[in-house]
Amino acid sequence: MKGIGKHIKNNGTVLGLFFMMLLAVIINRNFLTIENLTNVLRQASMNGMIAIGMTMVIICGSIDLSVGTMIGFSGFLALYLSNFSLILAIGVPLLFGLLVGLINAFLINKCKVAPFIATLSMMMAVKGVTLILTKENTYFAEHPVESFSYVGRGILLNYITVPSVLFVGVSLLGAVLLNRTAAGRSMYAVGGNEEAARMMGVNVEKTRLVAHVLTGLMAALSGITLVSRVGAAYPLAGEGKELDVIAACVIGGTALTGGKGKVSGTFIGVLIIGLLTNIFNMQTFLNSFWEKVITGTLVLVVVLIQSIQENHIKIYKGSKKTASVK
Amino acid sequence: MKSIDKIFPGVKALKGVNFNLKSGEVHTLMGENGAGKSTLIKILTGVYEKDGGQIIFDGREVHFTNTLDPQKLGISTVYQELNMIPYLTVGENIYLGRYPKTRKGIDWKTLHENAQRELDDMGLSISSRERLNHYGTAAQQMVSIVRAISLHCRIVVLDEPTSSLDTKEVETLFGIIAKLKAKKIGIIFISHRLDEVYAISDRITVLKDGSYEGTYKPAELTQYELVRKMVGKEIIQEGINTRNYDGSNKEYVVEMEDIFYYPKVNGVSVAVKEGEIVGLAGLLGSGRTEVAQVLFGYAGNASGTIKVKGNKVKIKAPTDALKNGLAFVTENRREEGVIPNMTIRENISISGMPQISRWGFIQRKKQVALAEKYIQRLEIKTPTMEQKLKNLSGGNQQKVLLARWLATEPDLIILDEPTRGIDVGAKKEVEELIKEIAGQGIGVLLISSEITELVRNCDRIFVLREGKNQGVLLKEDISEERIMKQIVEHDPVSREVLT
Repeated sequence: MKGIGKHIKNNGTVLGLFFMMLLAVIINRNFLTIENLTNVLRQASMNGMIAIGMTMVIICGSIDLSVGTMIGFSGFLALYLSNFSLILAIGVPLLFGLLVGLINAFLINKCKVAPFIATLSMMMAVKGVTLILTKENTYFAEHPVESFSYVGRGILLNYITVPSVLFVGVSLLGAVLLNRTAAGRSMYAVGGNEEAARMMGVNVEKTRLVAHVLTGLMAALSGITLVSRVGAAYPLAGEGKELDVIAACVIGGTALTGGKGKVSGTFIGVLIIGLLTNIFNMQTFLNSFWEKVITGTLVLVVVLIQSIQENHIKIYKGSKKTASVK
Repeated sequence: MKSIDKIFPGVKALKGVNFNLKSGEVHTLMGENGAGKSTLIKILTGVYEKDGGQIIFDGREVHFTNTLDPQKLGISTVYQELNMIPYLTVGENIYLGRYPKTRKGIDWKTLHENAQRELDDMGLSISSRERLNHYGTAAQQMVSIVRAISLHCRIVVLDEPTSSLDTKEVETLFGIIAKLKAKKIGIIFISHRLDEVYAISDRITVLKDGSYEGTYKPAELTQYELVRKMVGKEIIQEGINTRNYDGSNKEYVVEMEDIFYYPKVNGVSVAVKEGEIVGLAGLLGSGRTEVAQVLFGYAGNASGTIKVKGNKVKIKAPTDALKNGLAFVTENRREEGVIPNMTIRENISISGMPQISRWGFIQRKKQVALAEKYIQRLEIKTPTMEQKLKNLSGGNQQKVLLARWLATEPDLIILDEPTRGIDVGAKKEVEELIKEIAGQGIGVLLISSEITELVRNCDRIFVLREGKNQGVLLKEDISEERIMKQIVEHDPVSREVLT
């Protein structure tokens, strides 16, 4: 019994994913077609890449609200530069993503601004700049290099889209970083107990910097992919996405208090939210705004389960394992 | 460490303290609050820089400017509050920052194997792969010690490691300490439990008010002498209790019986009559503060009976205590008491809101009148009542706190270390105030680590040790010597003295 309980506890999100798929199949007979599944994964990829970075930031005990408007900003930059060269169209937005990550980390580490406030002001500033640059209009590139559209529309081996390859690749790299490198483990230490981590010789500031820079890069990459697929840069694209991304992390079991979370969990969290969108697009009897209600409920349920588990440990202090000399 | 000095603004925290540690030795530091133990440890671990004296390590003089310097030399500290990462595994906590690596990144298999070996070497039944916070405090402490050993440390500082452990866990810890000694690691041990100190120490150094009182072998120093060195005052202070309190026909305000609050209170009974000043005496860690916390509802899961004015009551939260006419002036004035950025007027009225408001709106006139009344009555020295509280001296801040609680018109007021951190003159005033409060028929429960303060003011004193009653003294029997004797020798509470 105990074994089963532990399995459910560790794989609750997997069960959630299966439940979602079951629901999707019942509602829509066409769900299990390869076209539809490809579509779901591709749509989820934009948020997914950012969510991997966000997982690291949250594990560090921080947050990044600037990723949403960064999608719009980097998207515009990419599309504008795609008139000149592919390398510029991809390189420059990434550079700006890195820069925004650096600024966020600087504000949090050196100026001691609360992460929420630091990245909130960044979010607003980035949005303003995008609106100025686009003159509040949707931007279309006049003569983009042809290869640019490949980033968002490319298909390998008939069914595998380039965005989903990017998403899976980023996830794998993220998992390796978090599990197999000292830099990744430091993130858990910093978020788990910052003072202790410092005492144990972890460079707290550098760790947070790495997480924020990676997240900035991911936001830029997501923006590039989006405009490449759509072929137009809408200045408000990505607005509010930061909250969807955070929701995906939370559904995947990442704790906003820091120190806890997994790439695999976030990956599944992203898929669950992606499926939800798909289900709502494929049915007619419910207004699609109910999607937000369900996402909200889901987040709440996961957090409640986490809180019950945590408090269970605290209430039954006596049942905690004790050490003894053999 | 030779003649260490440390000066904080306004206070000389350490005055020429000497301390030396041999390898493979357990050297205990003893002293009450403010004696300078923590300061000395913080200098050794690089948290503070010393203002004078020398630190000599292995025959060489060393200077610590940050917390990493001592760690590099092999000085590790196991703090009271645990300084590890709760969500990571035991093994990872031990090797954090020193991961074994292969080409594919961190080698988890080797890490857990090594960690498990270190744990087994210490004879601990702790699994390296389990998450740290699945274990209790004791086991987490052991892990912390194992980390220190794996860092090849030379000195381990154990800062009150036993304060939250039960008897069996303490035994485990002592087993580990014996193994550390065998490895020639020097141990600095801090504890307030006398029996433990005598069981484990090779030498004991006593500090008092920042000065060095001497280093002794346990066999050369009786428990009574040790207590005297820690809390005793050589000069008998003038002003023995001048109160003439007769409690024979007074009612009890509060009676507490068989209070248990794991792990620090293990069956304490205390009672206070109206207008009586009752003292709780005992060393630090004897449970004196915790008893007060139980009475005021800070300890949700405590057991035992509490009667207020003869009626049995349930006090599960501070609001229950307030409803029953209790008031609590905390020992941590800065963290739990004052609201520094609010005015004196607001600070005084904040607990007495119901009296001065109507339908939820504060009636300014009544609030001003209330503040004025108490500023006059307690002689709080301030230009106006609109002064921010942070601008007042410690003594006057304490008076504002007292005023706040008096404004709730309590039947009993608990004072935990009311004179800590305030100067001698203000101290006298606060003591006078306490007597005045009792004179109005309010019961007072006074907690103080200064025995002379209890002797000067109390009508009855309950002596506690390690969470149990040691004895009770009534006014004619109260003396410094008797209290210190009771701290070391058990003198069971007789029912007659209680009632």
